[in-house]
Amino acid sequence: MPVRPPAKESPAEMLVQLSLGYNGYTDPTLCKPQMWAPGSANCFSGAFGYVQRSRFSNVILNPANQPLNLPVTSMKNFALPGLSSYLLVDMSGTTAQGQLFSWDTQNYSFNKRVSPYLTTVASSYNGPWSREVLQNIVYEMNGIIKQSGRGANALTIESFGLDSPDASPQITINAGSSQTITNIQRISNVVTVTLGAALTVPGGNGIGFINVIITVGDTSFTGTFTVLTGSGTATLTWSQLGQNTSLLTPTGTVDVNITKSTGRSYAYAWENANKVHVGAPSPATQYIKYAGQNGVLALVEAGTVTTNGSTIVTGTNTAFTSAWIGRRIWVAGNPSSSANIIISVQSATQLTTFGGIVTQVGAQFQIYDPSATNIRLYATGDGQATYFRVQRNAFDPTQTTLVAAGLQFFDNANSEPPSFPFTSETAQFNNVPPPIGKYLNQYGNRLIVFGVSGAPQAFFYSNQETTSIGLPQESFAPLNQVTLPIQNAQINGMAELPGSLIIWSDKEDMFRLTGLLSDNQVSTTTSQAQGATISQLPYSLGCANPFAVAITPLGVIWMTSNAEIWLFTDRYAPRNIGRPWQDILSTISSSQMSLVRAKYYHTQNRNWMVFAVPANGFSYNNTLLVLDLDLLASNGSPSYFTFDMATNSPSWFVLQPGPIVAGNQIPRCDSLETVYEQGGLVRLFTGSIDLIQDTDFQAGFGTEIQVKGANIKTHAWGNDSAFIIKRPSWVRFTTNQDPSQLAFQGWTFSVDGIDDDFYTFVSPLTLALTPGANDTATLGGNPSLLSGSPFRTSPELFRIGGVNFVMGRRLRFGVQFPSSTGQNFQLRSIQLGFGAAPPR
Amino acid sequence: MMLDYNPAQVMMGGGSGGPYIPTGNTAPWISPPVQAQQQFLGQSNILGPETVRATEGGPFDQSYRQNLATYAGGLLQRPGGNLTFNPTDAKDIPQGQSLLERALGGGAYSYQPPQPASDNSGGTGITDWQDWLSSFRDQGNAFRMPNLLE
Repeated sequence: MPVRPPAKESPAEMLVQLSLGYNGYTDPTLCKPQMWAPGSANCFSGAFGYVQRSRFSNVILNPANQPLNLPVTSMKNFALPGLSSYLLVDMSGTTAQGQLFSWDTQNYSFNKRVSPYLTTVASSYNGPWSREVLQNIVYEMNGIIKQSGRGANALTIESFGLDSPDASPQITINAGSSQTITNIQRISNVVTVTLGAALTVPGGNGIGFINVIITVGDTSFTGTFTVLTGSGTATLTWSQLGQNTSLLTPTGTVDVNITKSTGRSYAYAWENANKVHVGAPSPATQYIKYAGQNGVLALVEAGTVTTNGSTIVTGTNTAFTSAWIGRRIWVAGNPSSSANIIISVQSATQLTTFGGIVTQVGAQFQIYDPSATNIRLYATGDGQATYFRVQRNAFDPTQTTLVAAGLQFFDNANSEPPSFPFTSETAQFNNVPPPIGKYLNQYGNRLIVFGVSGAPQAFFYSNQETTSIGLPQESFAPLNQVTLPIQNAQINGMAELPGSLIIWSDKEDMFRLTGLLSDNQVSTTTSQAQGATISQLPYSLGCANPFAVAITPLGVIWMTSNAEIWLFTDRYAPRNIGRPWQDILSTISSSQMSLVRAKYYHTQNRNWMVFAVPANGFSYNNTLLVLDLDLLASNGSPSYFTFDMATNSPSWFVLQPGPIVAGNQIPRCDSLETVYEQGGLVRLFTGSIDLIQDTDFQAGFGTEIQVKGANIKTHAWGNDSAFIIKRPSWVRFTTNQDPSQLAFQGWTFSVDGIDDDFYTFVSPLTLALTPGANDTATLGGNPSLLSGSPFRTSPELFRIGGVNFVMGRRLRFGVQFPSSTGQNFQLRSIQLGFGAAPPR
Repeated sequence: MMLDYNPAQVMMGGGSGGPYIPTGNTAPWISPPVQAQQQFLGQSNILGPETVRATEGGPFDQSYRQNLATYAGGLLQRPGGNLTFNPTDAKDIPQGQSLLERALGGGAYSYQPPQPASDNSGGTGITDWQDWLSSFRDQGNAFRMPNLLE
């Protein structure tokens, strides 16, 4: 049987793996056609090889549950084991009060986060907020206030550390009393004593201490105990572990007397039992030299206050301080509530509260943090320096008396450490809350605060060793700080790499901290206490802002203070990997560098480093710049990451998400966050005005929107043979769609001819190709193979050598993707040929 | 050129950005006892609250400044019941004794209630007069004007 001779193949070319991404940096006469020319947007590629149009969805319309006409200034993924994953959101403007919200990613339900530390400063809650999560607590700072959030949706907002009380306790010294023991017996670990006369125990049953002294007889009864029953009578009981005894008649006394040769000093501290944190102690009292006496301790501030139902509180012999703003005042005789929040302090004797306070005249008062639940009382041994915890009260500011509120202690205990009531717990002098900064970071399980007013060259780090009781991450020993020698610069970025911390300034400084930070105390020499070393790196690279940094599997990638993107692996010198889009970066106004945001995003076949930038001099972020890390890893070697740029460069893609307004897409992406949903999806969210969008929509909650202006334009094909004029006769754009649907879907294509003589890169000869209009979608043969070619002439094949004319030394190809939703639109290759018919 | 240094070497130093933390003889637990000072015998049985305050202004938020002041001055004496200083200025840190130093020197706070007036008359008030008469009669010296009788 005769065999049909093979058809003569025409010269042809296939452009595949069009994945080298945007390049507006390299001379266009040098670029490869796999690179994308400026103007390409809303498409991305990857190691998979094809080009895909982006898909966007509106996930949260009105993140405040109502229109605020404010941008989402920052977002934070906050996940709790066994509960859910939450998206913390804040919105603020230059003139509006910032507000905090949370969205549960399980069902995208709304919650408003309301702080109990109300202030009247309009900008107090303005973003951006810097947030870090440790031990299921999110810590937040914005340069104006600091706070922590815990529980579902981080709705329980509490202080970030507990301030130490700023006044020593008031002590009332009273005469003691003593009664002789008539008989005493211990049964089942309860001692019952009969005294010669009634003994009143200050503090009463369950609180007051008694001292048992046996001079002749069974001395196992000796000690200090809390009276259980019988205060005010001649029969007392208390608990004491020991063997049962018969009814004994030793010689001895039971008293409520303290006698000290040098004296005993007291201090107290606030405690938040809900997250088990204890603050630093108050100023200590003078040493009290008891002489057969006992003491009543009232935890009050100096002086008294008078209230009259208004918001003005007037003090007498008081020492009001503006450090109290945001905390609450408890006035004896009144229950305290949120009305008692101190919003301003006018003088040492006058302050203003949020709400009116019921009239009291000459009342004792206390200043407290609403997150305080308990009070710990410390005391020293006789003439000793160490403050041990001796008592602990529940604190209830809704009560009206000192005793009921827990602000009063009774000390009748004559014992010395370590005997009861002394415990082994010492006062936590180093549990000092951090200063308010703009930025938080973590290193070695410590929180780091920087951007502190008045100390821009210093960073402060939280405790580990010196906090034995309480949360170390909320405690910043005052000497836990490092000031860097950066002249007039300020610390402007940090990144924790395995075993080291990279620190940048806003100018040209870059440091590397290695080793473990350690708590610094007064009593230890700093040279012994310090385990960390800081090296100044010789790279003269700063950082745009602390949010323009992200850790990736390849190393830390950040934007420098002069708008470049660099990669640092901590093993090799940094590499500039942002050159392909330096033309965009260079349009960022230097005054807007603080707006840049960076995030690492990894899901399925996406392995992206993403920057949100205010391109073209805008005052808000309007462009996402995506770096494909898979391609970076395959194109370069982590050891050097060098690129010739013309043939091999990092693959960057430009996305422009934003709301669609009046049919137009308004690029806007103020904030950026990678969200790990409770359901398992990983999503890349951007925030703009009253809107949170998924900028890589694949599935999940949200309404997909059209994507306007998605297109790529390749760099020139023919750069390597620009001495020859090319005149293709056909070009074919292969997609993942049914070719017959291209016209319906709205694909359009184009070819630019550049002859370097008349048609230039700036003004090329452009041929627009519209499926169904410029192609030849007629049958080229019979599919039944009875005759002719078995292939159709596809709607994605354009014959351009005849009716349509394009030629040039270099050719660029353009693809405008459809804007419709619901599908992944992919461009796989571009074929062009020079014969009359395409190859089969 | 790489510059290596210990963070301690750049910590605060003479700069103005960090808090001054008292060391040396202001730390009570490492200080020697001193001589006894003023006693409080006979004062009120109430030792009122004594405050430590940070001056306003300077670096840091006021709340942190106050915490620094409490940290640095909480164990120091507070003459007059209040100690106010700038916790971020080394020159302003109080140089007084610590509370423990004062106590070890015999200056702890104590209260001795006033003794009730002696009255042996059984309520008649005559005993005092009788004592006076007895002294005058038996001894006379109690009222003797030395220069007149000699």
